[in-house]
Amino acid sequence: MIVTTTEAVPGFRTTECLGQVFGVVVRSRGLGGNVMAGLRSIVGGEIHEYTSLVEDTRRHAIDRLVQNATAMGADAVVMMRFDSGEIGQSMNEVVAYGTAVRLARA
Amino acid sequence: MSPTARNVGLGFAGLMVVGGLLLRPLGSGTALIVLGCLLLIGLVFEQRYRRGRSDPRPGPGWQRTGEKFRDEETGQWLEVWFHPESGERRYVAVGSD
Repeated sequence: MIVTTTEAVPGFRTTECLGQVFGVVVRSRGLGGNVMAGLRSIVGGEIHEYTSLVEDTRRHAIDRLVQNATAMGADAVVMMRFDSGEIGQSMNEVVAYGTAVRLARA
Repeated sequence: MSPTARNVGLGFAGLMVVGGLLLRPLGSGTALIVLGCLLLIGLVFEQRYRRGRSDPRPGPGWQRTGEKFRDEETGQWLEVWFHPESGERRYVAVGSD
């Protein structure tokens, strides 16, 4: 499965557009992680607990996107983008979205 | 979370519980015990995505995607493998083959 942020995949031509595909995840770091992040924010610097939360969420969202695209019979997801937001101050929402397509060698 | 930060958190939670227990004879400390216990539970049972962060090397039928990145928590370089039939992705430590 090719996942690309570009409209076209070099070396291939798009033969069929299967439609939009999504991977949506909302994750929380949990009370322990949030408290440790709060303590770390006293002195500043990188908040590793939240870096890990966003990284976990990114991986989870793109894994879901690829699984959904595979279920649609796609060869690739083009124009893939991430979007993120927060829910209830301690929850991180990430959506990975793009267009599922079928490809043939150019 | 690094093991050090986790141990600091566990120690902090333990101190809250002990402090709460010491305050019990004075008629207070319940809130401290409850908060300490919640923090302990939060740290011990914290759910992460793919705990351990690195999957075992996949068998036949898996393809390398070429995607590679550094896991900031473990410092390991990971590469992504893909199974075309299930659509599953795996994060495998570079050099584990």
